[in-house]
Amino acid sequence: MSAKKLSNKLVIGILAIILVAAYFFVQNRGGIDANHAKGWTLYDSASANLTGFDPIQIVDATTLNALANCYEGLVVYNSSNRIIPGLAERWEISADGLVWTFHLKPNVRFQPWGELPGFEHSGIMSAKDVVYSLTRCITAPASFNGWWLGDIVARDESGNPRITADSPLVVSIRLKKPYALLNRLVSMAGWIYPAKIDQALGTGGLASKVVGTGPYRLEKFVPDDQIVLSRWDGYTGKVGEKAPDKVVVRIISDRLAALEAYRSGKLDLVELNLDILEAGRALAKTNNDTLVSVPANNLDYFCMNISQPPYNDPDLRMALALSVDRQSLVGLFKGLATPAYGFTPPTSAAYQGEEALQKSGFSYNPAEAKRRFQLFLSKTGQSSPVELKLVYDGETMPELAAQFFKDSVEKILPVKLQLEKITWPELMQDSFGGKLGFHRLWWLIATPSEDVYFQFYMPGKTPPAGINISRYDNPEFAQRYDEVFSRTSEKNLIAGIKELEQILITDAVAIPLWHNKPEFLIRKGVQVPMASTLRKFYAESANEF
Amino acid sequence: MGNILNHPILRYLLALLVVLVAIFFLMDLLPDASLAITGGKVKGENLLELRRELGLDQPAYKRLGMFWEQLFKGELHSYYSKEPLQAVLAAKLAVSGRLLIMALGSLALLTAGWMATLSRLKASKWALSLLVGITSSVPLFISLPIILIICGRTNIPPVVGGGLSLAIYPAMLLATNLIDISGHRKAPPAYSILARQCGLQGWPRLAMELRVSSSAVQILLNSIAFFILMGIPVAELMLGLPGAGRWMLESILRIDLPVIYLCATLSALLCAGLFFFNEVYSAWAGTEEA
Repeated sequence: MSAKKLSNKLVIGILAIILVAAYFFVQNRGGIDANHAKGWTLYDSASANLTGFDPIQIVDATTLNALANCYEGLVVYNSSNRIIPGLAERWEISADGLVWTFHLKPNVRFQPWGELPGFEHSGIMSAKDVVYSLTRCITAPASFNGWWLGDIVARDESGNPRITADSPLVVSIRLKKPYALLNRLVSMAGWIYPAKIDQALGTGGLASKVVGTGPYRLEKFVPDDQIVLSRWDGYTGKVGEKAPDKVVVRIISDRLAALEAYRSGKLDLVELNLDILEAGRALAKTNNDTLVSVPANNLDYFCMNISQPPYNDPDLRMALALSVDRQSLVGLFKGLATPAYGFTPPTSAAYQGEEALQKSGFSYNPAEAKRRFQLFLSKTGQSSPVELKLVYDGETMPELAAQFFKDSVEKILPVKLQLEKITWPELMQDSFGGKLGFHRLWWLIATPSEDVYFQFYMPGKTPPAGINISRYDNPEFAQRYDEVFSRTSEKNLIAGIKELEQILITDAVAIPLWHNKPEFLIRKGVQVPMASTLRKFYAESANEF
Repeated sequence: MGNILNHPILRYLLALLVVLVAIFFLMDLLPDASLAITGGKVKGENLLELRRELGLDQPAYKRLGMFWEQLFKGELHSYYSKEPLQAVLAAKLAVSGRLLIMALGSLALLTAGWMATLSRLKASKWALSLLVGITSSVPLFISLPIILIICGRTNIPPVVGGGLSLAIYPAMLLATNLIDISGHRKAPPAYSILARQCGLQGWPRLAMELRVSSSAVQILLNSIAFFILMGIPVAELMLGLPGAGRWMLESILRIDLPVIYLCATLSALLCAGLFFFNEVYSAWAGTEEA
């Protein structure tokens, strides 16, 4: 063998050794895929990070849904979206509907918080903790969630919320006027933690530690990597016999990467979006895995600045809303959505049903759309084609919807619609800054709160304030809203919500398009109950492996 | 001033300073962080309080001072998780470091593989051109998903696939420059820096080649370094690896300014390191020539 050939082989040999060494280095350093044990650990996935731990500063569904397994309120909701007793075992309402008295469960323990010098607390929840937590949510300057309760609860002469500890296990809340309080208490605004622990925790406060009463503790959160929840032995509530000891939620923003992680056994659960839907369904078929479709408390819509021309004209708004064939639109989404002819989601008790809404809501009606558009033209004297601009953000579904809307509208109406795609932060800034007149928006209400379904964001409007959080300036609607949500009978309340929805439809305040119906691929043998809020109930999950 | 600029270290520090100021003012063009954090769900007065808490109500020069103070004290906090960034940074860099090691390992092996393949294809130029053309025209965002799917089906850790993906193009670039493609040993193409590497007689010969072809070597090494370093965030994002690159990209999307600034500072330091290497290399090659 020549020296040259020998040298070549030597070089290749050295290179191979380097690669093998690098491989083992990576493996031995505990790559993200190491230690995947089946049985007691549920491997879930999320596409976004937690955005903070402090209950008064949580605004996103991912964080709320994850920490809802750690915190509890006076009331909680179950996987059927029903509001049920939580830390309060029962409650009563005064005859005038203004005072709600909650009787707390005895001996409920808080999760341990470790060493906190100078902080004294028995570790058992009492009325003082409830008063502190709810008052802090309403009054803390840094609270993002004060509006959930702040505009409903009455204040004393000093401006303090009238939430009082009547005895160690009794709390009363006085309202400004009768209102469906449980709708608001079931949210993160109602989560309870030990009184003054935020101060004892120092700089980070409750943003640095989770101290709730729920079945799981937040063991670890590594941004862009994982959220680890572990079962808490001190939990006195109901936990399923086969509930996982640990839940590892891997944060994978790319859906293809999530599906491949599922395929290789590193996840037990993955949400399928449009890009990986077919591959996920095929995988379910091959492996005999389960596909679960969850109708979500969601609405995707186009909103308009209805106090600025040309969107201040209801005829234009109605013409645009009637130009969309929503059935065809959701056909593009392959089962991941249902058409939205009105504003309440199919998960609401007040949902009128697709058939009824096609009559009373925004059904596809090109002739009527043309007629309303002509009315708009004759009133304003605008020449056609009318030029409009629709701004949107998001990925595949919004992209398809925007293009579909443009094609539909331009086919029926003398309109030239310009599309512009921007990022979510830009959309927020430009919308609040009053720069946008017409843009895409969506909501996912992460608690079963009927009143919040009317929380319409409109371009140029400030964030919610007042009991009526709809941000829709219509005196008739505002008056009805207050009256409807003061009704104590559920039947009457639901009837009222339908009336409110009809006002919104008649005035075409926005263009509802679809309700999401996410699909989850779940490994055979694994059961994870999910609510329409997309919260996963880990304490009720089971594994048949 | 002129004397200061003649000193390489001070020159680099000055350049770094300018870059860090420029990055800060570029960040200032991003949309309002407080609106991105709260998603439009917060009352006006609470929004103002948040802006005060984050220092967003301060003029830009004060915020820059605040960032620098926190950066040097190691007290920069994420707008979201509120935890000190240095606590997260080590874990993020460890993931990116593993990916980098995999990329370099793959680069070594693939380069050898390319060289062996290209040497054997010398006679069929059309096959050679086809292979080189295909390899150099498949962008990272196409090779990555393909490798991701292969990893998913074969249980290969994504970090290994990521390293391989990052090395495909640089290895080809390196290999085509390392072998004598044309076969004209006496007249190698100008860019062929170590064309006759098999004929090298030890390190002195290698050193000589490196000096003679210093410009080409620099271009080649810089291209490879930039390809891999710029590719790391893309690979991390697409493969779901929790590294520093993905951290930076996702922080830009959620307007987490302290994370963006920290990552941008690290990137600037890395670039400065590469430029410094180039300068030292040029000086070394130039001294010998003189």
